[in-house]
Amino acid sequence: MGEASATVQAIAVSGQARSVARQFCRHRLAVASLVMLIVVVLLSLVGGAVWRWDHDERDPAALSSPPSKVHPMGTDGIGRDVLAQVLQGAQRSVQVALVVAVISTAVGTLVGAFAGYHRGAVDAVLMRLTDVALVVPSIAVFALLAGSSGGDWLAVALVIALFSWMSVARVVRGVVLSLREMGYVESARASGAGPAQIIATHLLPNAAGPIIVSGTLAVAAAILAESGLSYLGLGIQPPDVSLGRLIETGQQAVHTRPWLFYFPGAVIVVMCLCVNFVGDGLRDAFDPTTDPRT
Amino acid sequence: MAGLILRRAAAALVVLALASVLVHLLVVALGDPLAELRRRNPPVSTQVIEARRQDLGLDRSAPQRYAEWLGRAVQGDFGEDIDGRRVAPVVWRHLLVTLRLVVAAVAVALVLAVVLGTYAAAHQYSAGDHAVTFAGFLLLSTPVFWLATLLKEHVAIWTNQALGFQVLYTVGPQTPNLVGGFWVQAADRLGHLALPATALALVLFASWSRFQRAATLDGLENDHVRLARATGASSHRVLVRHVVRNALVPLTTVVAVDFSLVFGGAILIEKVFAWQGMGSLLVEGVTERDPNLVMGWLMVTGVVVVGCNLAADVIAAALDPRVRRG
Repeated sequence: MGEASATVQAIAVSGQARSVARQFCRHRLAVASLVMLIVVVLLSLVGGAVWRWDHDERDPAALSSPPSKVHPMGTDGIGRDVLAQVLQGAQRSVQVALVVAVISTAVGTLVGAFAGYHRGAVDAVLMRLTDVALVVPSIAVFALLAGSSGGDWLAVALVIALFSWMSVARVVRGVVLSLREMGYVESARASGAGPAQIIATHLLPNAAGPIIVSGTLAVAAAILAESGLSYLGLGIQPPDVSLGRLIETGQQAVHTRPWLFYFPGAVIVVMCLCVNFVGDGLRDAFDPTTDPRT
Repeated sequence: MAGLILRRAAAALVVLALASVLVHLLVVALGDPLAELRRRNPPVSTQVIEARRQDLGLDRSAPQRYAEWLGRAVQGDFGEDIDGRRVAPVVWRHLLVTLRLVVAAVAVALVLAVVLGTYAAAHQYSAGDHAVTFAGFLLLSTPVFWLATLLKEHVAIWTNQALGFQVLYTVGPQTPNLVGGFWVQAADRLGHLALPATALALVLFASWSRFQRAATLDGLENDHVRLARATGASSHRVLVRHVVRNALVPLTTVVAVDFSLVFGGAILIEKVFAWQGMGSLLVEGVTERDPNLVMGWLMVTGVVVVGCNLAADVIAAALDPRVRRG
């Protein structure tokens, strides 16, 4: 691998990135979702610090008050501002989703790439491992580990990440299996490149599309997994806030104090919907067969 | 065909054996099952705790406990839980409740996904296609327990009011101590099942219809489909005989692999509708750190998952001669 070929590689990658970006911008819904997603993420990360109420601050003048100017999403039975709580819960969702996306994509890519490249015994062992991880319903595993983690958000995120890499691994393995026999991989091998180098420079860039798409899907799945766990009472624990727990407590009040139930749920739906549309736009953008005019 | 089934069954046994090791490690990671007993006030005497410890086998090493557990588990005996109940019958009873929900939801979701997914692909970029796709995305992004609560709090009330008598029930899998013949019982169970099953079915439909649409679009491009069309076969006939049938092969695999999604959804929905199924049992096992209960729970679901995967392999082989020849 000389310097020249590294430059060629870099040009090829930046060229691909440009063309993907161009394709993505044609998908209007995806672009709108991306903008919306950035707004929601920013709000969730800094909104809690800027907003005039703290998530655990009580307003004795407003117990169970419906949405008003002072409390745009109303308050709960002990006067806590629902908007502040939703912001805090959304922040936890975003944090969990980012940790899960990074770890599950990294682990899945590594496992999938090595299984696909080495085939044979390595492949068999790694793929049986993914099969085993798929046998147990993930929510049960999350519940088991998260239940003993003490309800810290990072622990919950790590637990979800630990059992979310399987689908990425399968996708990457498929791509690598189909590419490893290509002529250019053969020639790299003949010129003395080691497996790690071949995987990193020749195979993974071609799998970038599927990896990024499964990464976005992992984000949405992680947000839903965290909310579900917390809904069962096995995820993030009080005094911390989670959208799932807000829904659980608001569930009894659907008819009497609907703001407690609808706002947290709507925030989850908006976040996941944006992520899924962005993922869909990326899938089309990475797919060279997509008709550029549609 | 028989060879294929035998090979897959052997692989399934290996996966199950490995899963049991993983599950045992998870249960060890759960922590001390006697913590709750030790914290009790007034304090429980040390003799009682020591006796409990021996009953649960906690005085022996983890590998030793695993070996003993495995020896009994292969005979269908999962030991006793912390409260001294036999685990196996408890788990099977809860599983039957959950399976009722799962089977109904999967059946409804499959029909919806195949019909609407195929329709969307056959009318690509039409208003109907966009509607199905958008509904899919929306449902895929909705927490299933939130959706279930919406159905419970609104749809049940509207329906019952519109009809003037109670058809849909929102608490439990059946009315306790209901007196009546077979039809009364069946109607009662159906009325309890309708909403939870719909909630689960909608979520499953979301991911499966997208898959069916993509598979159908791929199929429509195939040469044999073009040939069939060129010979003058009606487009309906081409779609059903040459495209949908082929698209069903990958769908069976997806459905089997999605078991985690199905079961996870069922657990959450059970809580909304107060069903005493696998969900409540899992929460009980985890919060009480009950080793045998959790092990039994995980192994029974593991057997169900592996069984479903095996069934999917067999169905795929029956639908596709290429899979049969392996």
